[in-house]
Amino acid sequence: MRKIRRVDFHRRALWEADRYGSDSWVFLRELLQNARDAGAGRVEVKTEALRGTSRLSCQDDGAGMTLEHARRYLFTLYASSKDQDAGSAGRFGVGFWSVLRFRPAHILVRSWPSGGRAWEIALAGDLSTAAQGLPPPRRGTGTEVILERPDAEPDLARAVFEAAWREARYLCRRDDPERRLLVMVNGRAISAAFDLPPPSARFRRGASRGVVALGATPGVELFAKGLHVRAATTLGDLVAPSEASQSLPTLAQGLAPRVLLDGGDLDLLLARGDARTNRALMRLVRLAQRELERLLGRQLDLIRPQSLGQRVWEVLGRRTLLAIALMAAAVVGAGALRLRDAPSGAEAIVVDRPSPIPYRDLAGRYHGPEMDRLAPSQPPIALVYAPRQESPRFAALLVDRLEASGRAAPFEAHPVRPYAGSPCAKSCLEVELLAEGPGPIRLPIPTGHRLDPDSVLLDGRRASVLATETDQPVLELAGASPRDLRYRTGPAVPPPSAPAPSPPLPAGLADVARELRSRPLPERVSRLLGAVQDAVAYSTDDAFVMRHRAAAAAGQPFIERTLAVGAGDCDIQNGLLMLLFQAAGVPARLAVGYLGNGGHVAPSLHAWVEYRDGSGPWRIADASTSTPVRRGATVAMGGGLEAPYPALSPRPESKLPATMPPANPSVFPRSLALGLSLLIASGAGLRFAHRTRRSVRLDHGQHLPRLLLGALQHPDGFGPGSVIFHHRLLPLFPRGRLALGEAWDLAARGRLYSTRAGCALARRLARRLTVVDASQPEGATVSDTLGAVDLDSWDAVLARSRTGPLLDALNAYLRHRGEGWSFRTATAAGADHATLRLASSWLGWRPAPRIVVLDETLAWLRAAEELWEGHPAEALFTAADRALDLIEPSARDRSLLLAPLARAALLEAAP
Amino acid sequence: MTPLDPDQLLGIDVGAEIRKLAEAQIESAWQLPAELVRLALRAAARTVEVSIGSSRVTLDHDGPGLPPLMLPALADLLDEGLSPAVRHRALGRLESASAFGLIALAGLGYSRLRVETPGGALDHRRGRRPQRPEPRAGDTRVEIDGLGLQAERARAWLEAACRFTPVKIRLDGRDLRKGFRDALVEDVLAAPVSGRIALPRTGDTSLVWLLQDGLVAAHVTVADAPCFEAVLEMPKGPGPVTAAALRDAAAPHLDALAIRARDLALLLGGRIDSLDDSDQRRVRHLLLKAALSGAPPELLALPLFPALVYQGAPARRFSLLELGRAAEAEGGRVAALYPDQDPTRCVPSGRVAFVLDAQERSALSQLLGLAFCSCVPRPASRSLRARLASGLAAASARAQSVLLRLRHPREGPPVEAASLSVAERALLAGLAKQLDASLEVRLGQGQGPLRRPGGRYWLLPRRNTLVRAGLRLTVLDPRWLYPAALAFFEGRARPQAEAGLAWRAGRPLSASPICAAGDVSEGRRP
Repeated sequence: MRKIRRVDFHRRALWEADRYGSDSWVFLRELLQNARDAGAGRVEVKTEALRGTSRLSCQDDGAGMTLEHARRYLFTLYASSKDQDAGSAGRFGVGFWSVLRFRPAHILVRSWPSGGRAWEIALAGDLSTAAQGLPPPRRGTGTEVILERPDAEPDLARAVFEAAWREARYLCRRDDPERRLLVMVNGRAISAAFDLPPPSARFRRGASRGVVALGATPGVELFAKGLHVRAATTLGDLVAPSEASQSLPTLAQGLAPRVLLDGGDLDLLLARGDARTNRALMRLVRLAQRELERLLGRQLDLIRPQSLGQRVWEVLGRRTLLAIALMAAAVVGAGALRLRDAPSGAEAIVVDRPSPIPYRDLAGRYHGPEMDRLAPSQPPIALVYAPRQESPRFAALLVDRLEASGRAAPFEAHPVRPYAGSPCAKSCLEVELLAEGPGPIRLPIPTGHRLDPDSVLLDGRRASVLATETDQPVLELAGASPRDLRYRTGPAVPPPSAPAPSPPLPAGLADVARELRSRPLPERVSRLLGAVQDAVAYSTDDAFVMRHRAAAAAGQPFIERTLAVGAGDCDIQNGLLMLLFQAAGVPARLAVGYLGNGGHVAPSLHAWVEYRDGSGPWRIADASTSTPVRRGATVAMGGGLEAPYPALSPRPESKLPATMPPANPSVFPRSLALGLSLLIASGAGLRFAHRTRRSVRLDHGQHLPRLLLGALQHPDGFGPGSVIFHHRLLPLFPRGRLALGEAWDLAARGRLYSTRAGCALARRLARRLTVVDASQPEGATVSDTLGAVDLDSWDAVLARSRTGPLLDALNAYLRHRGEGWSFRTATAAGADHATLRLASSWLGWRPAPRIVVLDETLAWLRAAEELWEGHPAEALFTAADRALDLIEPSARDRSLLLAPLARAALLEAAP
Repeated sequence: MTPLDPDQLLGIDVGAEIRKLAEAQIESAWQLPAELVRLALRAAARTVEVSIGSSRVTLDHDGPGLPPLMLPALADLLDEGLSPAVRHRALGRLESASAFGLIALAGLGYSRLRVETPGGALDHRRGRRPQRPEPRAGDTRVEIDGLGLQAERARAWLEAACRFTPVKIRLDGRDLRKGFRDALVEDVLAAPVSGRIALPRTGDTSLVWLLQDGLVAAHVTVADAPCFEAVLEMPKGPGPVTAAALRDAAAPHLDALAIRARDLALLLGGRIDSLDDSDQRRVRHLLLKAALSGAPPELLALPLFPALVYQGAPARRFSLLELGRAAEAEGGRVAALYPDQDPTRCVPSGRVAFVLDAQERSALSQLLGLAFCSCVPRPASRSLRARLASGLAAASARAQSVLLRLRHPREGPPVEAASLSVAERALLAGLAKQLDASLEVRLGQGQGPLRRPGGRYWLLPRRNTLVRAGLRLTVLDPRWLYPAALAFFEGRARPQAEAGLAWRAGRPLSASPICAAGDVSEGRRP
């Protein structure tokens, strides 16, 4: 590594010291940087210029260094103990030797390290001699560097103070970057707040911080870990020319950007006067540009606060709002599609629910499993329940016997036996139902529940409940009008029921059923469920409907035709399942009813099987579940039998092909929601970790007209998207605001108006025209600069204007020809003529009214008026010719308008 | 105090030195191609060909090659087997020659470097000692493999850095664009700094490019000046060349550059009529910017601002002083059109209307305290109601003509020229002069309506009431030809503009000047 001759060392150290540029005091920065990197909290710089010598000392209370450390790093050029230390400001190993820029005759370095002996090394300025000694004792650790040179510099103290202030006024401690490192120069602190006069915004993001402000002159200063790197005029100066982009203009009146940036992770070049144009610097520059725009917006908002709606509009922007609208539309669209295609209840019900209808008893309308009888009933019945979290299946009609043809046994017309319900103690379900008679109404009861008979209220009064043959509670309703019915149900075990007679089965099936009788009930249930699902796919395809109908018409029994077709809807599948259960000795019945979700029920009817194990409660088995259909299997295990209700997803109106297993609607949205939530949470976490902390100080005295004038002078610098063009800053008369960009656009089309006095004309036109309130300075500045039509002066001109017979005739003719112009005269109109446009045209039908005020003294006007007495037609033609020349540029249109008048004039004037 | 041997105390970590000098003098590897071009320029190359790939950079130039000692110094620097002292000396030699590009090579992770110049050659594979093959005749070539640089960034930087090089530079087979981008005017800068200055057609920021060896090495922005772009070739100082040092060196000259830019803008302002509209506007913007920073007297008197004058005077330009006076005469408020407004489609309020964009208005407001009033645009198209009314009027006229034709069904034959009276000849001649030359108007017999037997041929019945009225009046006063033409042809054939002017001027048609400009223009309105 070493040994290079001392002469080489001196030459090399001087070379490196020169690399720092023209500022000979730059070594102060390096000394302060070393103090900071040593963990100092206070640095004392003292100068003396006495008896022909200049003396400068820099003492810190940092960790100090051992002599060995100093030999290895301080006295070895390019070696640095901070190479790999990201928290250190220095790393090149040459900074200390910039003290040679002081041209010292003597250099004294002392250190009081924490873990070693204090030492001092004295060097001659040309490094020709060196000596080691012991420094005077002192309390605590630290390092001191003393430089002496044999000339008394009169301004030494001032120069040192200024250099320290310039280079390190924002220096903070190594171990606490938000705490200042106190630097005293001859007892005077040089530390300064990292801030700029308002309007300004301080921000900190990670290890970097900055201040942006709007001032009279532009300026940017870049610091790295609180030490000065360079000054520039614009942010673009800080990056390589090929990377520079347009930023706020260098100088707009009252709007020049002033920026302080302090990068904690900048990568300085060896000369220290530049930072690499790397990602850290680019990020910092971009951040500062954004903060400048934000500050401008805040300042404008202070001067002219925006409404909440405007803020949302500005913050989100048109594109974002459009994106949100599109997303909302997509969600709604997807929801609508989903509802249409949803296999059943659950999510589909909630999205789009038509007005419910009263519930009527199903007994007269359901005749047994058929494919075309369970079409969705729209809209849903008026049944609500609580708690909403439950997803019960309300059995509205129970069928425990099917004829061979598949028809249900006739339902009892008027039950007479009492219903043996059970009071509900816990897990109760409160049900409200709008029921419509007349006749018996079977109450929809969730499978596994029983009715609490004492809870039944019909129109607020208690009502007695009877029971059907299948132990279903039933009420007799007298009238046809809908009745409000309330009741409570709860989980309960029903009384023992007589087993249904075993249905006749085809030979093969009967054998299977018989074999299963010896198996445990869960196995029987599971295997039969699987067998049905294998043998009969869920489908509502028209082809299967036709095949079922044809087979029924041909007299084929229900079981045979179902197996032959191999597909069916929910009551076909579950009708077969019920029969198989019964054949296998499992008490079972077919339940036809409604799926509950979120406190309501699905609009369509569904069928499932209720079965029980001995004296246990009724349970659900549903062959129309989402379990995949396994075709070709002779014996298979069913799935989803004991799954909780929501997992069972019957599909009465699914259009999926028979071989396609219906999707479980809950799985995808839940996993998607979970994934999205995680993603959003991660994003929010990251965002929070890298958030920008801000502190904004606004200037209440900022002069808005100057800002607006500056923006008009530098539109390119601000860019079309700048807040200054979109913020509604200009006062309108009598109320409202207008953005500068809008005002500019209107003025360019001659449609910007202004009033200072709020004259009668302005009041009359304010509804139809955009009238800037010029009584306020910003309104006056913009309307004067852009050239708004001054309604006050027009009001005065119109008040003293008049028409005579000639102009009346001309105006009448123009009106007759559908033209919107009308002419008046006035004294001192300010010019030969002036024109005022009063309103917009309406769909191009009616012309926009325009008034032209002519100077009364116009020679041609006076001549025509004199002519009017004897030769009115000639006078009218003459006036129209001159007037149309003012307002109508098209020669053809002028000729068309003048032709009738010319004819009249000719005929009148001909002798 | 115990004396120490300074040679024992002080030392240089040569490994760290080489690493740091190689890594920390240029931004990154993407600057290397430009630094190699700099070496080529310093070696007096006239053509440089650079190829930049993601892992391979080649450079060929036709200069005489590297200085004699540079290649051995590079070989020593790259040779990790040599003693630190030797490598340190090699580094010093390269640094003295400002060969940062070569020093940077020591810190970059290439896999193979080959340098061939007429005076020597070098072949170095990473991890091996450099080889010194026999030199070959011909141009200089540098090949670096496995460099792993950001190719796009390197190209962009090379293009930016070589904008002002005096020699031909080709990048990946195409010539690099040189010079100022879209400059309005350029000028040479002489002592104390040499370079060029230009006024760009776009932009708001004044930029000064600082060159070293013909390549951009730094740039600075100048505030408070009319937008300009300048390039300065910076003299080489005794110490290390850094961007910061270049900026420091340029700082004293920046004010002079701003003044030079203002003078250039003034020069253009003096011949503003020779520029197209957008350039004129740009010059006005630059001069207004200069005026806002303190206008020199010659700027105040420069006629810059176009105006339409509505008292028969031609359009002309006003100086800042004149504009101020005109505004004073109008009560501080002057009429103005935006540049994209068609003067013929606007009805200005005032005797003078300036053509000014928002930037000019804003600057003039600030400078002179002016307020502007706009002109009212004429409707782009006539309203439906007006068109309907016009159609009804035409239909009515046609109906009258039909009725007249029913009363006089036979079209009278054209009157022979020899049979025309003097007054009739004068009428026909006057009409012919007023109308399009391709139209032929003849008198016919009878008293029916005006007829149009052929496409361009009109027949005026001699005894038609309107024709007779026209005939009598034009005999008395030829000015009546104008209303007569309007009445006869009802807009289907239009009299020319000078006929209208004569009618308005109250002078005989024969005495009125004939103006070739067809349509009525605002500037000639009486």
